[in-house]
Amino acid sequence: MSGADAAPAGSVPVGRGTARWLPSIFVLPLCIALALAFLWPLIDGTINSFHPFTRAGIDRESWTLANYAKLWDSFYAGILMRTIRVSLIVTLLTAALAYPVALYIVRLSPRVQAIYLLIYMTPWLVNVVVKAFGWTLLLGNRGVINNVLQGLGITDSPLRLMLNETGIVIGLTHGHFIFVLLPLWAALGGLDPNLRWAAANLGARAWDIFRRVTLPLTLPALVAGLIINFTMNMTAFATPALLGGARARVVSFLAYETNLVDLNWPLGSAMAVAMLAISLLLVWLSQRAAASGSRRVMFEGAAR
Amino acid sequence: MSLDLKSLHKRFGAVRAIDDVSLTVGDGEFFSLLGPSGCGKTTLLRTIAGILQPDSGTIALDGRDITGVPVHARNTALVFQSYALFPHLTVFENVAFGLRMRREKEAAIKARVDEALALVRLDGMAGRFPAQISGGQQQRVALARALVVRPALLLLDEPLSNLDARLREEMRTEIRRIQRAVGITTILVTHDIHEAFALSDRIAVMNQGRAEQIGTPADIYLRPATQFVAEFAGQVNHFATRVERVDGARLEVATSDGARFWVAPAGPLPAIGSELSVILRPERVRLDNGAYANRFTATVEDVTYLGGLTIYRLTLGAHRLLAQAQNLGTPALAPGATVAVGWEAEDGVCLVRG
Amino acid sequence: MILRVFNWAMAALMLAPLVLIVWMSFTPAAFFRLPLTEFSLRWYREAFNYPGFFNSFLLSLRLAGVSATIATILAFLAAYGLVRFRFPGKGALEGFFMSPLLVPGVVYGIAMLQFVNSLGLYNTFWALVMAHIAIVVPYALRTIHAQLRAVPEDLEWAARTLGATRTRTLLKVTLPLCARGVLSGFLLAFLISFAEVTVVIFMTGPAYQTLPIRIYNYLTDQIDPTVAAISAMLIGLSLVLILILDRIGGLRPTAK
Repeated sequence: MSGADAAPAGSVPVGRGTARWLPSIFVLPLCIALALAFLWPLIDGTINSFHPFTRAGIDRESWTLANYAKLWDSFYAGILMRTIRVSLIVTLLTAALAYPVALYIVRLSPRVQAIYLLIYMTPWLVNVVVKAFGWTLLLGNRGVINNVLQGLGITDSPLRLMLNETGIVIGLTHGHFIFVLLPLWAALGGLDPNLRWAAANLGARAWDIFRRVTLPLTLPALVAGLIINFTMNMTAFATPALLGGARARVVSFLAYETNLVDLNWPLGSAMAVAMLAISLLLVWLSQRAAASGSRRVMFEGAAR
Repeated sequence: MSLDLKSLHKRFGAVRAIDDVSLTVGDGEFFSLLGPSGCGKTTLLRTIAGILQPDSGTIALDGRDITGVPVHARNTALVFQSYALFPHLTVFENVAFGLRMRREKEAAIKARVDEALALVRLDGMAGRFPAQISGGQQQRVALARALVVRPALLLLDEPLSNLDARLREEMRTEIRRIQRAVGITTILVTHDIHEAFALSDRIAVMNQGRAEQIGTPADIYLRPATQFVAEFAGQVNHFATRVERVDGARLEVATSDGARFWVAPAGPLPAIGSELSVILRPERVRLDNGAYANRFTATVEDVTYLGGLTIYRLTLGAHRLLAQAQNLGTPALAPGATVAVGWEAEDGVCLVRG
Repeated sequence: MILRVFNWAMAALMLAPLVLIVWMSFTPAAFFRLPLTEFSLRWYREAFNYPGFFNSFLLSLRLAGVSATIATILAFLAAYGLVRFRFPGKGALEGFFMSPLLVPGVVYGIAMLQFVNSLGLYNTFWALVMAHIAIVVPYALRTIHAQLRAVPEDLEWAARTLGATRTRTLLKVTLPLCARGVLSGFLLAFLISFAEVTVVIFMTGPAYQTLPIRIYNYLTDQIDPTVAAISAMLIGLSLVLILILDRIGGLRPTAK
């Protein structure tokens, strides 16, 4: 809703004619609700992360940074590295798969485009757990793929396609595809087709047009989408839990165990705070990337 | 280089965008495709550039058939109406684009881009982005980008339509200067008759995909081949007449309500009784008592003062007549006044109808 | 040409797991086996006979209904305040209202787990409602806000000059004019709440297992097509909601 700060021309400036308190009637209920149900829990959790964890529970009397220090232990760091690796693979894979799709659908009629977008949006709109179950049917030891492979005599024993990193990669690529496709589709659709013709007219072949015109002009949108995609991969829970399992633990799964099995809330909170900090940083980066894109779009507009 | 188009056709669904166009543009010639929007002129230009493929017909450059040659290999340089400057590249890189595509050496690129920017008087702007320069400057960049590759043909698609009136004048002169300096065969698409007249050696007036007339600006204006061309090239008085009498090289014609006057058609004389459209430009209607071949008395309906000129709307019997007079100091006529009007037999342009 | 085939393949891949679930749910076999010829409603019967699923379904319905309703009301009021007034700090307030989108579910789930426990609300329905309002409110707000901005303010002023009070104008003019946006906002909120897993899995107790959580727990335990039947029904429900949303324009990709 970034465009909303530019108030519509006719909106009433508060202070003359209207009572000063009038807007608060409308915005205050949501303010209070979010302060109670959202802000307070987050602050509360952050505070917990600075208390030590003892046998008796959280020691609210003393303060410590030990929980954060513990995140650097090799066990935790190892799981963090796996999470980053898996997330990055998913993001790069998504980029490679989404770009051709976006290039293709942007040339279709608006009606067909809408249908395809809806299809690509379905994984996001369908319950994560249901999706994971669907993949289990495909990827499991007795799933469709292994069934077919063994039936055709290509493999003797089932390929291990899930309950490892492969399963996570497949599940997340599927689930978060739209977050790269959508901004890319919008950027490609907004591109002046004459730019491509101008390049061709100046002697550029298809590959040169893509490399020197289309790609650079859609890069900001692509990067913004990829960062969002990466952030979501990093913090995904149900998909890696069901398709990766305990053998391919990721950070969110670890945080689950820490909070609900070990009941070590201070450490769990420290994990949460770290994850929040990282994802906020990434979102900020993505918005910067997108903003550099809108500047480009402005350039284009001015050139018309 | 010379360009030869032979019976080009292009349809979009039921619309004939190019309908049997054949024309030849000579080496170094400045040629314009003139017509209202939707007449097919931009389609024709894009077909020449290779962006569109003709359904049939051939395009040849210096006798070599290039109909099937893809856009990037045609060596035509198109200046788009929107300029289509690459927003992510600097002025320098925009101009260098075509040279890079041709795998030129870096030093050669530098020299030629500088030369091209000097030609369009944009030295010192090389580091700017398109969004940081004015519309007129963007136009010059587009021109430099097109010229720097030394194309066989320069194609200009309404290049001045996005500029304001004063800048348009200036760029018109500029384009003509540059075109003469480079000596490149140029095709301009425009809907602006003055732009076409001012720039072109020859003009093709297009209507509904057809080239209605091809000729010099004077041909188009003074000797229009069709009523469409006559009306597109300027204001006209139009009479639907029938030939009544022949007298040497002159004909006497009559309108349906009996008004009679003399005309002197160029070319073979039509027979008595044939239908003739007579076109009379407003500036040929004289408002004095001179010894003209055709003399009438008219009533002034309406006067429009335009500074150097005055336009009179007159009624002549059942006919409306537009007259245009130079303002040479004589007092203007008032509405309601009666006035003597006249014109020579040679002033009317005759078009055989049907 | 290559791109077209690639696009088809990708689109098929997007739908493949879902199609497979529906297919499996109608076969009598416990495992995937070729060819799939037999048809049976066995797993649907089993699903309905397993009380856990049905109770969880009702709970999810109730949770999504209550949270989406409250969130839509709050979002409509807030959107009206944001669109129709200018006041200092408006931009920051908007940022605050949208901020739940920025916080990963895991993070919010952990915070809620600890918060709900410290308040003694662990294992209660209202704790879930609280969480889901925060989660879905940005979606409702964004949709309603966009629609409200498209309603000309002059229409409200016209009603006011004709003697309507501000409240009556709001209810009789503004609300009907952006009914489509409010409905989209509600349905989107409902859909998100109904499908939400991560936060609830962290904060809820055994007494309040929403349907996705029940499926999650069932899946970590065993895999048989009972889940396929349940999932197929869930997909059907999502599909209906998505189609309605698409019809009324709630899913139009907007530039944020």
